[in-house]
Amino acid sequence: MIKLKHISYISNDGFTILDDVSFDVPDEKITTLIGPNGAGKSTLLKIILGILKPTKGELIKPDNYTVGYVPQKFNINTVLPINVDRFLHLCLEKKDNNFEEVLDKTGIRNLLNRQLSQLSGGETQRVLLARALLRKPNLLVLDEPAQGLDPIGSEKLYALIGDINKNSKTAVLMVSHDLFVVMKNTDNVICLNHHICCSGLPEKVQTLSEYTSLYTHHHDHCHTLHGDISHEHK
Amino acid sequence: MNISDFFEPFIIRALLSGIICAFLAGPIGSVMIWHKTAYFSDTLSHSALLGVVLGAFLGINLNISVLILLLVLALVLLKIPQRTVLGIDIFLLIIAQTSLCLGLVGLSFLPNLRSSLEGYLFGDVLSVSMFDIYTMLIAGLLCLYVLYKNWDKQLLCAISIDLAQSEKINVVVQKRIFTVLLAVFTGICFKTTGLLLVSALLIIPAATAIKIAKTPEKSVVFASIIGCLSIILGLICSVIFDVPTSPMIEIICCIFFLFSLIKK
Repeated sequence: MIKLKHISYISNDGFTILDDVSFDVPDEKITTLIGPNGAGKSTLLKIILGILKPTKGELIKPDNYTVGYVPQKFNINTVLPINVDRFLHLCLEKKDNNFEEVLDKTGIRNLLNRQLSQLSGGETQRVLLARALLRKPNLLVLDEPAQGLDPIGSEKLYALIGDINKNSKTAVLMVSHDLFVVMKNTDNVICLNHHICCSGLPEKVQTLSEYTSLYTHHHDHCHTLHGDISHEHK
Repeated sequence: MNISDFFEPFIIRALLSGIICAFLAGPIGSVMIWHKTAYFSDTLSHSALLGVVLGAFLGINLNISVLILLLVLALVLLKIPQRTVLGIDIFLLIIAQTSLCLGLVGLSFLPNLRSSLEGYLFGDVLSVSMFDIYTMLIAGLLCLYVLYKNWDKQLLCAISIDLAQSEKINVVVQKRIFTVLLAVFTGICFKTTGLLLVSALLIIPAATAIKIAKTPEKSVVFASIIGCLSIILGLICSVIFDVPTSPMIEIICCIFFLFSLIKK
């Protein structure tokens, strides 16, 4: 399991994006990060992925721990002509021994010869998921996987993520705004707004005032416009 | 116009240097478009004249001074943060124009070179020496080798920087490698195409090829073929109609591009 200890991240222009964030990402469980736009969710994922270095604090990862990443599909550049098959094999170190299995699991066998640029939103997301799974990850990290999908597409995608988690014992950490779906499919919820506002089992979190006010955000302390905590009570 | 004119040694040399440029422009231009950094090439090529001027002042080989200046500039450009208030394109444009003007002002102090200004701006394909061709060939093969070795990594970085980084690919190194290749390309090709038209040969054939290719590799091959055809046709047209060579090459490139738009 991955442990985050007192992680802070300050951007180049001096803005505190993450402030003393500590939590564990347990094995074999689904953890969901929720929080308003600009709360630092994507930054936190990038720190866990090793793309960004935290300004303070540390990330404890076991040896040989592989993290598979499913980026937001809007970050995928489709200017270059490339088919799905070639994309899945780009820079793949671990050889093909789970290729067939991953194709079946994600249901993308019929997409292999399609151009990456011509896939629908849901198809792109499944292809990205397949790419992450080919690396046989211990942890799967997804950044708003259902963004831009219709309700049926997003329900199917979350069900697929749930299946992967159950069948291959892969831990899952995802950012999501689909609160209703999140609460149904997740083992652990973390509410983030620069710092952790509350966390726990979904049933428990839903009853907390921090959760209900997360998107409006009035809890036991106040925030300045920059999201810093000020201890004056309103 | 006699047909035997086409076999004059200087025409053959022009053709050879043009084909080397166009061939190399295929892969480098394609990757540049995929990385969405097309504006980079203009900044580099506009600065080549400054390299000529500095080389002349310092009394060193002009090809080498251009190459050194472009390499230094390329690595400096990478230091510009992607998200600036003005946007990186504005920075690059200012650097491009300033270095071109510094080059033009510097050139006015060098009476020996002043007369060749037109050649630097628009290319002087007919004055290419055999030595130039050997240099281009060796540098070009080196570029191709480096690109070949990093090919899949470059593709993945183009598709998604975050994805590449999460898979432990050093994207800073990959960016540097590509920028150095671009600087070397500009350095060896600007004499043939002229500094104002380096980007045309890089971008137009590659943009045409993307429209018709289904794989990255085919796209590169098509871009090289379209570039080489443009060079050959452009050179023939310029000899027959007695018009400047590299603008003619650009126009032929553009005709190919227009055809690719009409298709589909």
